[in-house]
Amino acid sequence: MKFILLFLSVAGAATATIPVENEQPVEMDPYSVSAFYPAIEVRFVLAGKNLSAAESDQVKQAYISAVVFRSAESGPEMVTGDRIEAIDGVPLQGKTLLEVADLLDQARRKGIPRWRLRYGLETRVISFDGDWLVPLPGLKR
Amino acid sequence: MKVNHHSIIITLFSIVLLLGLTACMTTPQAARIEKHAALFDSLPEEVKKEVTRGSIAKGYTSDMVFLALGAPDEIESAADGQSFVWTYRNFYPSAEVVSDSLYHIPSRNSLRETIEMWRHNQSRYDQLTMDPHERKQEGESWSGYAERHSADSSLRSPRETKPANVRDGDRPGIELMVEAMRLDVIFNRKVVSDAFINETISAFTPQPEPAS
Repeated sequence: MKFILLFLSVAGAATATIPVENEQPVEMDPYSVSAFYPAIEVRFVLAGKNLSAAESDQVKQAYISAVVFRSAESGPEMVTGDRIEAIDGVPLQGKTLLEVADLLDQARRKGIPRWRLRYGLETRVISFDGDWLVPLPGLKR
Repeated sequence: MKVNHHSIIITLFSIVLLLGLTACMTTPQAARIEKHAALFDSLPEEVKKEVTRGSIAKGYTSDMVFLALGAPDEIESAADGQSFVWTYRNFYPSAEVVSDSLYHIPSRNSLRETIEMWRHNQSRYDQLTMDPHERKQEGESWSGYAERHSADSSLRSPRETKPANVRDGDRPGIELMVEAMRLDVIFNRKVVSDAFINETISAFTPQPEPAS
């Protein structure tokens, strides 16, 4: 019996599928980051201190403008409208987009970045290393 | 040597008046151009012309838009800093840019219009009423006509349309009828790709002429 259960769990981890309407389910590599985490789109409200170069302008606010769930297991940890306050405990406010990119790059080198998110009055910290639909300057995802 | 005090006073007064008039005529974009002269000088001639008018076009950089329209109230950028939106919440287009047929009406002089009407044996009130029996009849005296319509306040004090907001660009015989609008200038790859008025109308789409 134990042998059968082990076999079933291995079979479950081997393929992750996305149900697509009127089409065959698409098999995905379960060990890639994309399969485990949703992809997000982040928008930045800038301070207008540097009108010539947006990437060198200061961030007033950052929020998640879209979330793409790539599998049913990815979990609704982030939702559209979440304000991103900090990555690995470092606040984003006042940093430039280039500095935020550097911060995220460093956090990824250490492991899975931890994000402090706010929605209304609720603040929570989650681990997230999914793709960005529009990457920060100099980053690939 | 005898100094003519009158001529000195007149000269000084003329200089002050001239300076005052020059200050009044300075448009917001002219003030920005003066402050950022080096940036303005580096622009192509056709861009200089448009920026001086307070106008923008597709393909303009953020520096050009700043000179033409000023700093936005809000900037929202994609993560890469290449695509962003400049939002002006209370935007008034430059008087040099807006179409006369859309945003200007001829000034109305109610006294002159009334005199002209009387001269042609008509009344201003006749313009407002559709019923021919209500209009001034042939041979009817003005006192009799006024008595027939004594209850109507529009006859005593005809209403005039007042401009909602009047801004720079005074022209003789023309009143500006421009209201504050929201303008979103969309930048893609750091140049203007589109602009929207009140989140609906593209600023670069020619609008149909209003029916006369």
